[in-house]
Amino acid sequence: MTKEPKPLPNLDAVANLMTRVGLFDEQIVGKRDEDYFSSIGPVALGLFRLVVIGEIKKGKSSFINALCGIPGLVPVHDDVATSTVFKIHHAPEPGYTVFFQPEAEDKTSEIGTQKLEISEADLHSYGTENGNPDNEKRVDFIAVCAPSPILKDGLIVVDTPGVGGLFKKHREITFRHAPRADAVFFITDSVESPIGAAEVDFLKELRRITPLIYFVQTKAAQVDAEARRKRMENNIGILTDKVGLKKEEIRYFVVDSKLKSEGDEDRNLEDLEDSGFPPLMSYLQHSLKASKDRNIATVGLRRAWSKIAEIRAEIDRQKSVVSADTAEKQSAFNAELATTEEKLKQWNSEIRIQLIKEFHTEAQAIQNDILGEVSEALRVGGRISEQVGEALSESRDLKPEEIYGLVEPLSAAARAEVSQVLLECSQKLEGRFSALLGALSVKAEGSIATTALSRGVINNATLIRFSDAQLRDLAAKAEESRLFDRARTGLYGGAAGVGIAMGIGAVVGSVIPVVGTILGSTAGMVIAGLWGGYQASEFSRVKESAVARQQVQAAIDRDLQGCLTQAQTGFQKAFNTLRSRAEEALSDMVKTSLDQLSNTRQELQQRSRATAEEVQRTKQQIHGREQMLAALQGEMEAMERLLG
Amino acid sequence: MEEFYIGDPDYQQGHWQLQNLPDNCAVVAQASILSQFGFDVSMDEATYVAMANGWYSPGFGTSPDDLGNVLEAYGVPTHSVDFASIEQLAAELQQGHRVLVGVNSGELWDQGPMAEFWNWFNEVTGRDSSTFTPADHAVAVTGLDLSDLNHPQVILNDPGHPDGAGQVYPLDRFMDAWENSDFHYTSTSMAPGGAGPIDFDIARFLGLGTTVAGVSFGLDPITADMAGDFVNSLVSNTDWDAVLAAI
Repeated sequence: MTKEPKPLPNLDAVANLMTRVGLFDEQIVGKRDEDYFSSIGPVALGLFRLVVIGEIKKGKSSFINALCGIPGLVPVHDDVATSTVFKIHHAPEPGYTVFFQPEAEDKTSEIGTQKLEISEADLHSYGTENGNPDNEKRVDFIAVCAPSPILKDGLIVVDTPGVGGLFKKHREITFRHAPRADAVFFITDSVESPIGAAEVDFLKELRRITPLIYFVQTKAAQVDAEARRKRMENNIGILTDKVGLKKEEIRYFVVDSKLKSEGDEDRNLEDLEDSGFPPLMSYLQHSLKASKDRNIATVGLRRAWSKIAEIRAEIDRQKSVVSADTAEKQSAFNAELATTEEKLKQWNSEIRIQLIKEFHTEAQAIQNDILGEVSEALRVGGRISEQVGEALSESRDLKPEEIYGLVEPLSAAARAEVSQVLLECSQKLEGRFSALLGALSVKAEGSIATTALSRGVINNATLIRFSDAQLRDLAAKAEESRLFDRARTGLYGGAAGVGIAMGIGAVVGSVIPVVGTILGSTAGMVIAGLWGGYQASEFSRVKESAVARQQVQAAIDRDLQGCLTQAQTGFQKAFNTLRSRAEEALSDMVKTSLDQLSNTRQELQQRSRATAEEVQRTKQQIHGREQMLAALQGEMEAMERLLG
Repeated sequence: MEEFYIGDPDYQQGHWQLQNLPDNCAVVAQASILSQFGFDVSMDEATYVAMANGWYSPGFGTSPDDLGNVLEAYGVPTHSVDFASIEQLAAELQQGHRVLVGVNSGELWDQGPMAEFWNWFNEVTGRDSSTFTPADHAVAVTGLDLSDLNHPQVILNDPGHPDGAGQVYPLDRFMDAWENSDFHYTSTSMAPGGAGPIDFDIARFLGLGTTVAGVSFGLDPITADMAGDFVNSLVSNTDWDAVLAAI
């Protein structure tokens, strides 16, 4: 066991307790609350999303294979660079499934509808730059089933393609996955260069999206202890000086994946210790995952408390029926029941309609706010577009080709911002809908099942599929035309300069023969030609730069417009689903209340026919249930104390 | 006096192993259980698996959160309960399940004046014993001896004690030591092959009226075992396509 600080309740125990509360409710009410039981799933799974990123060839895939303890789980050959995202989760048997992006015209379909199971041998064809250049096979991601113990507790490892170098487009994939990550492992190595300028820029951008970045230095055994220590110190220095991280906040691990894999093979404890993996695994399990588990446990217990309150209300109702033990009490109870029944019918015909109307009005306001916020950020001339414009205006002194070169970083930054905006808006949407339904629940004096309401709706609303076609075309066109245009402009400008020089030379020469001779000479023509060429070229460069800026801005605006259209469609779809689900939930609430009343009436009728012995038995049963409820409450309270 | 046991301590005693490192009690206790399920897993191998996955750190041991993970790694399903009652624990034993608990070794082993003093001190000062003197040791509960209902006993396989196979402790002493883990237990959700539910009327046991964590109640008809099966089925029936697409 351990002498470490007292741990939090484990999620298995929380899920177990939640289940017992649900089964107890089922026993009392007579039917299963599917909405409640569906809320146990996330607690039982305890999902933790670990995104692994870094430049190409730093050993990301080897690190993941070593982390999972399965050699060859994701491709690692020296001549192969990962080109797509691998999402690795636990399963009893290994397996690979390719999920394809929907066709361009089918933007509304759900991700994941087109998939193909492949063998390990086919991984190369779908998951690497060599086998699937430029993602021509439109792979969205590859799901990897891995029978690895580390994944059993809900850990999902996301292996992203390498950023930097020739693969700048991979940045956007990373930025799509980083915001939802529970931790991002940034991989660097002990052998090649330390963290470079491109990685520094990347990390600065990444920090805007997530603070949960941790550093892993791989290939430790390929250099001696002194060299890897120096590399670590150097990297930490760069992270503090250039990226702006505080030294005490940096979590940095030095590992050797090969050593870990060798250790796994023959269960060699020494190799395992030398590999540097144990402290990393311990930190992952007991710091990172524990902190996420705390949140999951808190949400789970909150849900269980609301179920406990419902059980308490039901037991009280049953008690009131059984305690109506005289004709007088029964008659009073019957009268009260009739009044309540009448009230509920009225509620169903009037108040419910009023609540739905109120719900629609408020939902419309939420929809307008969210769509307004999305539009304000993503529209042409909106916040992100303006930021791009500002960045471009600062590039006035750049040459056109340099401006064209900004297409990729600027669009990557814009897309990262888009992801962030959509994530924030989806969180707001979920929060405001939950608050609205909570408020309506209070007004309705009932309970609306809200857990299932937003399931699968909001995430899908924020899934944007970026299209690279326009940006790529622009970059390629710029690349092709740049040299030719500059040569042609220089040539025309030079010719014009020579013509002007010759004309001026002739005029001046007729007046001052010597000067005219000099000016009219070949040297004079060359000098003048160069000057003229430069001036014309400079004029053309300024003009071309302006055109380049306009084209870059226009391309990114078109990209943003595409995102906006997709987001509007996605959010609209989400709103429609949420609306219809909320209406169903309101109707269900009325039905549940009517059912309860009907049960009470039935029980009362039975009660009037029951013998004294039966009444006594029912009373004992209720007493037993109260004891059971108290016991469950005791466990819940104790767990809550543990959570603080 | 009629002998009255819940669990099968005699059978489990044959699988007891003494821990080979100062702090791998939880790992060795799990290896002993694995051997009952037919796995030939040495202490070193179990220690490797635990260390490679962050469930055991030399010098720190195993966190109660990770109790059962080695069993799960070999495919033996488990479930855990915090703030459990002795009745819940008895119900697991009755099902033939293998049960691991966290205890404070000092309170279990050395019921001398100092241990008594700390118990008394915690009690009178209202301190939470699980925080002040937390559990530092894992043992397997193999049975309850209820032959004398006035003096119930708990039978343990203790990997940290040289004579730890089938060690017998008074229930009260066990409860004192167990309390320090917030009455945490991890149980297998199945019995090893051949070990079926034990034929025993557990209602007799309830006559003890044991009070745990201030709650006294009859046997929970909705057992942690049932809930454990449900939770395990939730995990194994996960729609991973949907989960992964949303990540």
